[in-house]
Amino acid sequence: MTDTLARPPFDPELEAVLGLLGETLPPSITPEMIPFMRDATVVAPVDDLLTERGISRRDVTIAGYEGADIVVSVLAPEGHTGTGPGIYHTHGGGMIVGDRFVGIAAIFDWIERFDAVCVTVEYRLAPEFPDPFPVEDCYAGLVWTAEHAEELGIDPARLIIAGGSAGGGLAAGVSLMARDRGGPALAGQVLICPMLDDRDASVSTRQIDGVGVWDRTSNVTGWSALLGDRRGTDAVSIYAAPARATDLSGLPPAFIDCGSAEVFRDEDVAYASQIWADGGQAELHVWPGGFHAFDMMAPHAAMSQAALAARDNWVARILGA
Amino acid sequence: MQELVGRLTALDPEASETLKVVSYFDTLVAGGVGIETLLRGAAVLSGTVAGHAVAGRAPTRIGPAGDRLDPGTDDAASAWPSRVTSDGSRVWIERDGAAHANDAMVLERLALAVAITTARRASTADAAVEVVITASASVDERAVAASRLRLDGTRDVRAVAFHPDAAALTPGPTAVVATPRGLARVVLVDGVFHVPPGIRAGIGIRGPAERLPESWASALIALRLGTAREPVVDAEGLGALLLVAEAADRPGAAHPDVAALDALDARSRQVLEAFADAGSVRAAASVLGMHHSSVQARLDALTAQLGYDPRSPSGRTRYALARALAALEQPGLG
Repeated sequence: MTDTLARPPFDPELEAVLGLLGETLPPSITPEMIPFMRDATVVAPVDDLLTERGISRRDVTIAGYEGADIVVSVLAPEGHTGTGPGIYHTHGGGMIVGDRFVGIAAIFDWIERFDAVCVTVEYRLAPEFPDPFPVEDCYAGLVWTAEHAEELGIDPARLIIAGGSAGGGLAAGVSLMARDRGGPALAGQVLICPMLDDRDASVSTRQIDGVGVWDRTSNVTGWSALLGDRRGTDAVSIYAAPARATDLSGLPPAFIDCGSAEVFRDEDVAYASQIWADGGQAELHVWPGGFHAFDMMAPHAAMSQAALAARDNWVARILGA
Repeated sequence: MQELVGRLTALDPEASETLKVVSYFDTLVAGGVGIETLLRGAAVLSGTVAGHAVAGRAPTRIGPAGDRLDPGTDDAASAWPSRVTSDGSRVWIERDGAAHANDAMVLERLALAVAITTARRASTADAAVEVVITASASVDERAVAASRLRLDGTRDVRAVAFHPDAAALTPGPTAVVATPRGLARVVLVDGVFHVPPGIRAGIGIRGPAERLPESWASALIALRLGTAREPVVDAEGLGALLLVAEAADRPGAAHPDVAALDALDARSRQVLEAFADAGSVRAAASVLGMHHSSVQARLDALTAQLGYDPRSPSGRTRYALARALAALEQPGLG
C-alpha cells in the first residue's frame, strides 16, 4: 500500500524536463529554505535582455501601502509615443521570494506585439511583510499606474493586470480591491496558474505532495509566511486569498490557466466556475499533465507552446489588436 | 532576469552529462512520444537545431526553442554531425564549430529513441512484444498479442533481456522497451537459442505466453546479475536466489551484508570473488597469482570485517546472497 493519492500523470515531455531540473529544484520548499531561495534568485542581467528586445526601462519610486516607498519599473518599446494598451504586472514567487522581473519574459511579447507599456511592481515580501503588505503594495501600484496613465502612454480603457503563481493570486486580489473600492477599471485579468486558496483542503493539494513543482508543503510554507496563524481561519480576507470570495460578479474578464498535475488546479477551476456562476466572463485552460509553471520551465515543450499561444490569443482579443 | 523556478537550458558544452541525456530520452520513450518531441529534446539539450530525415520525405528540423523550422535540403543535412538509425533514417544536430561534450551522447540516444518510436509505430509485431511482457496489460490484450506473435500454442517461451544497444542477435520477436531502470531489448524465444560470446544477456524463466511478464521480470534480474566474466545469466539457474533477488529489489537502504561488501577495497573484493568462484583457497590463489597463505590471511581478515567466515558452509551462502544483492544495487541495468 502507498499513502500517495493517485494523480494525473505528468505529460511525458514535461516529465523529462522535471527529471533534469529536479536536482536543483526540490518539490517541497520549507520555511528554512526561504533565505537560500532568495539568494538563488540573484539579480540577473535583465537590462541586457531588455536591450536585446528593444524595450526601455525606467524605475520610479512610488508610495506603497501606508505610504512607504516601493519601486515600480515602467517597460515600454524604445521610443514609445502616443497611448496604447497597458499591462500591470504582479510577479510570482510564493509570496516569499522573487523580484518584479520574475516571469516578465512572458510580458515582453505583449509589449512588442501590442506596442504596450508594462508597469511591474516590487511589492514587499512575506514573512517580513505579511498580509496585507503584498496585496496592498500591488494595489497602490495599480492606482499609481491608472493615475499616471496619460504620462505613461497608457490608454486607461485598455489596462489589464497579469501575474503568475503568487502573482496570479495577487492580480486576482487587486482586481477584487479595485471592484470593491471603486478603483481603476481593468479591461482584463490574466491569472497564470494562480495561487488563490490558503485552506489546503483540495484534492489537488493532496495529490501533489512531494512531487512536481511547488507541492503541498511549499504551498503551506508560502501561505504560512503570508498569513501566520491566520492561515486557514476565518480571519483571512478575500484580497489575500481570492478563493474565499463568495461573490465574483462585477470583475473584468478573466483568463485562467493551470496544469492538471499541480496544487492550484482545483482552486483555479473553482475560481473560473464561480465567475461564471456570478454572471462573469472567464476563459479557463487546464493543461493535461502540466506541473506548476510548466510553460516557464519548459517553454520548448509542445504543451507549453500551446499554453502560451492560448494566452497570447486571449490578450490579443482583449486588447483589441 | 532569473526565473524563480528555473528553466531547462542547453547542457554544459564542456562537462559530460551522460546520465541526464540518458534519463531524458528514456522518459520520452517510456511516455510513447513522437519523433518531433524527441527532436525537441535533442534541440533543447544541445542548444541547437536537431533534424531527422527519412529517405524520400522532407526532413524535420526543430530549433532549440522547440520551434519547427523549414525542412532545408538533404545536402545540408549530410554535413552536420549525424547518425544513421537502425531503421535507416538519419538524425543530426546542426553544430557550428567544435562539438560540445554531450553532442555524441545526444545523437546516440536520439537515434536509439527514433528507432524505437518508428518500430513501435510501423510494426504491430513490436507493439505486440511490448504488450505480451507488460504485467499491467489486461489478460485479453496479452492473449491477442501472443496470438499475433504466434506464441499462443507454446508452453515454454522465455523472454531474454539485452542492453538496448545490442542488435537483435538472437532470432525471435523483439523490441526495445522501457523498464524502470532504463531501456532494454527483449527477445522472445521458444526452443533452443544461442547468445553470441561476450554479449550480456539475462534469460527469463520458461512458461506459457500468459506468464511472459514474469519471465521478463526474471530476465531483467538475470541481466543485472551478469558480469563481464559471466555475461549470460539464466534465471532458471538461479534457483531460490531469484526469489530473494525479486524480494530484495526495491528502493531502500542496502542490507548490512551488502553495505559491508561495498565498504571493502577492490583487492579484498577480488579475493572474495575468486574464492567463491574457484571453490578453494589454493584454486583462488592460482587465479589471483597470490600465495595461498596470503589468500588465507586475507580471508582471515575479511572474516573479521564481514562478521562471518566466507569459507564456512553458511558463510559461503551468505556471501553469495550479499554479492548478488550488491549487483542489483548497481544503477541501471548493470
